[in-house]
Amino acid sequence: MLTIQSLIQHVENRLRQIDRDQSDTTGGEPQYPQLVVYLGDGADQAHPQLCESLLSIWPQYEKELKFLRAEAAEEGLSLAELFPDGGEAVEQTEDGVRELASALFGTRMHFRDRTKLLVYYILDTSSFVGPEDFLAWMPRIRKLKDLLCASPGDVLDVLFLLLNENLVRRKTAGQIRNCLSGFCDGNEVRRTVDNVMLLSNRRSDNAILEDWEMCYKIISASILLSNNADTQVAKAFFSNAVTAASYAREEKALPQIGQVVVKSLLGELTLPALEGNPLEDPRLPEKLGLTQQGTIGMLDQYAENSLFDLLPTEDQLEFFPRRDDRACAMSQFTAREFDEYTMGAWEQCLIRLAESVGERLALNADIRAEWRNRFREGLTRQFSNEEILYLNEHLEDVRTLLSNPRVPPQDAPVLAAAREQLKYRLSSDRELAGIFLSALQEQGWAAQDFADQWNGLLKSVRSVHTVRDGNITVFYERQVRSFYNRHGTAMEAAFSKMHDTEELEKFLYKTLDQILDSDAIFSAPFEKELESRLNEESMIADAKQYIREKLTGKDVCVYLQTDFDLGAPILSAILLKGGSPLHNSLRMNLAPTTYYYNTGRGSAAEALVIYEVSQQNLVNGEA
Amino acid sequence: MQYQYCPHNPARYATNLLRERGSSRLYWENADGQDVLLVQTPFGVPAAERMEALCQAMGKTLIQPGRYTEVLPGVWVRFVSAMDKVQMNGCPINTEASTYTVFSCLTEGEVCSIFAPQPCQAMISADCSIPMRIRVEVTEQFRRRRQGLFGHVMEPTGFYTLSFPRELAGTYQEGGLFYRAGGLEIPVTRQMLEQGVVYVKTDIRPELVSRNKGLELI
Repeated sequence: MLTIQSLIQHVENRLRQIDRDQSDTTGGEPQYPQLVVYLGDGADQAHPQLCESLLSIWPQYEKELKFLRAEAAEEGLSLAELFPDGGEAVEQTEDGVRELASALFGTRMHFRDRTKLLVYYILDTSSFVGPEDFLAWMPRIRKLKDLLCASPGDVLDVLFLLLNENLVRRKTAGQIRNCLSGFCDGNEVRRTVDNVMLLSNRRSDNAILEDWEMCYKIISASILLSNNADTQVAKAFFSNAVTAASYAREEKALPQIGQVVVKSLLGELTLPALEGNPLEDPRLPEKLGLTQQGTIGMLDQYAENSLFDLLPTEDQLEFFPRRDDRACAMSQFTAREFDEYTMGAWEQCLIRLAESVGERLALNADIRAEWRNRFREGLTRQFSNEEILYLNEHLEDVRTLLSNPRVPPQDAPVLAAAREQLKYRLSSDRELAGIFLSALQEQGWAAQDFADQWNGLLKSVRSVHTVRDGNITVFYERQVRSFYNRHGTAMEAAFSKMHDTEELEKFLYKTLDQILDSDAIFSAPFEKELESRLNEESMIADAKQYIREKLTGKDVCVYLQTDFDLGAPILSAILLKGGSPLHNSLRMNLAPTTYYYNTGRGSAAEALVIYEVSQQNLVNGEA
Repeated sequence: MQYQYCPHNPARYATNLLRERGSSRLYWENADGQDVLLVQTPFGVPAAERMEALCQAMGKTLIQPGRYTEVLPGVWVRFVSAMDKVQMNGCPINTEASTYTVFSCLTEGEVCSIFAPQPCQAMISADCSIPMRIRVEVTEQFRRRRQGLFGHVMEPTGFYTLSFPRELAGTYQEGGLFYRAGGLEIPVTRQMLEQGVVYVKTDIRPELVSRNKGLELI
């Protein structure tokens, strides 16, 4: 079903595709073989977003990035391999996992350094009822690690712990934090994994996230940065500590652009209103396919092709009955004279011939279907949707028009008059006229569906929240208006002839694509797009400064709330397209210790800052 | 009198309606001493499907005793008492080219109950269709031609005549009869029947065809 959401999503998807097509360089690559393992309930929900993020930067590693799901089972672990393309998970035995891990070190893989296997565990605490549920995973992780490597030294691992700290789970989360507080003292957690990155849904600004989407972004950014030839950067993730992260992302506001473009387009299109009464249009008979004699053109054609050959020939007229045995040339009579002379046999003959059409149609449904389809096509060509709706509401008036052909004169020679008589009889037949009326009715229902769908779409515009950034609204409304000024006439002409919802859907998608292709702003990298927008509104001229502020300013939140300050970060990193003007600007303005990861993509810039979480920030009053 | 159509009652039956061979009389079987209603409808049209409407129409019509009365267009009824049946040895038909149905009936006071026939009877039936048997004379026309001084011969004129029974015209429905000539099948019209004798120019004898099961050509 066509909805405003589907249209907005279409624009978003198209803009993302344009961005992907624009990328002519690739960014960094993974240094080491790696494995992502989703532990327990809910963790595998990260899979689609994680895959999309990682593969947008490492597209060439689609076959080489591996993902496992491990669930608690009666006898240990239930294991399955997940795939980036979203295909069905494949159950794996322990030997299967060993094979999978071995293959990561194979020569067909393109990892540059095979000395280590990086394992990233993701564990969601949302389903835990106590700290024991968390601790129960430690022996399972150890068992898994045993499957993955010959010796512990071959593996570096990070546990991304999604800590659900909403009001319902606060107590359990506090207990888990207590468990983690012994990490530096070598507790069971420390004996299990090298590092824990604690990601909470309760941010440093006290906001409680509704879902883990931002945390998934942090995880993917962490994986990119940690699987790195630069050991200093990688070290921040394998530092034998509990860490937390702040994160910010600036990208082209695709959802908002989609909203504005779609709403603007729908605002420009209007269905043509009904002008006058279609029944009073002098061209109405012609538009309905009637001839000048008031007969239905398609039935005339049928008579010409199928019935005329069945009429008697001039010679055969001699066999008709007469009142006497006078010799006379029967073919010279007029129709009236011939019928009178044959005591009504001629008219009865024509009646039988006309009635035979009904019998043929009963045997051949294809002819009726063909007439119906052709008539409907004619209606959609000749009438607007509103006109068809009107005609459908006045079906009896149309029936009168269709079933009242002019009586042909009987003064013509008998056979010539017979042809006109046959056409007249066919068009007078209420059952045959009914075929065309039912076609009009069907088209009327389709017109009503179309009107309902269109009105429903317009109504659904109200359900979309207004884009808060007024700059985006004004800028892209202007873009759509400019497009409409150039192409509006053709668009309106095409739209006014639209009759079904499938056509409407194709038209809207096609027009949206044309709008996105019409101006370079839609394919510009995000900072350039922002710059253009701000400049046009005579707002802040320096988009780069604006972005810098968004990435590193005071509004950037840590995804963990702590009682005490986290101290200096152990890593500050920006992920963006290397060599871009934004990159150069940030290098000039940020601390020299900032690490820049080249994503090769101009659609976004991310900032990730890693902090070590001290024991005092983990210990709390929950027992 | 009020007429009502009632479901079949095994105690009140009338069935096995037949035309007596060689006569224009109908005969049937029914429970002893019981009266019946004979209903005449157009050929092939069963009466049982229309009895509700017929009962209503009968309530508004003066039914002639001992005679067929038309209560709906093309539908006639006649009551036959048990005594009438014995005296008349059945009941004469009204006209041919019709279907007759017999119903058992019972009159009590101002209400006459007409009972539905027994359904699904294998070999016998409460209705009987009687076609009209008609003969159309097809005659080649000749004329006398002198041959020699004193002789003459009869030679064909190139015409045939079709002679129709006049009584057919009143009840004839168009499209019931056709004749074949010159590769055509030409309808016989009511006007032709009223004319009685019509001419057809053909070298080959025309063939009559009936398309109405109620009309039987002999």
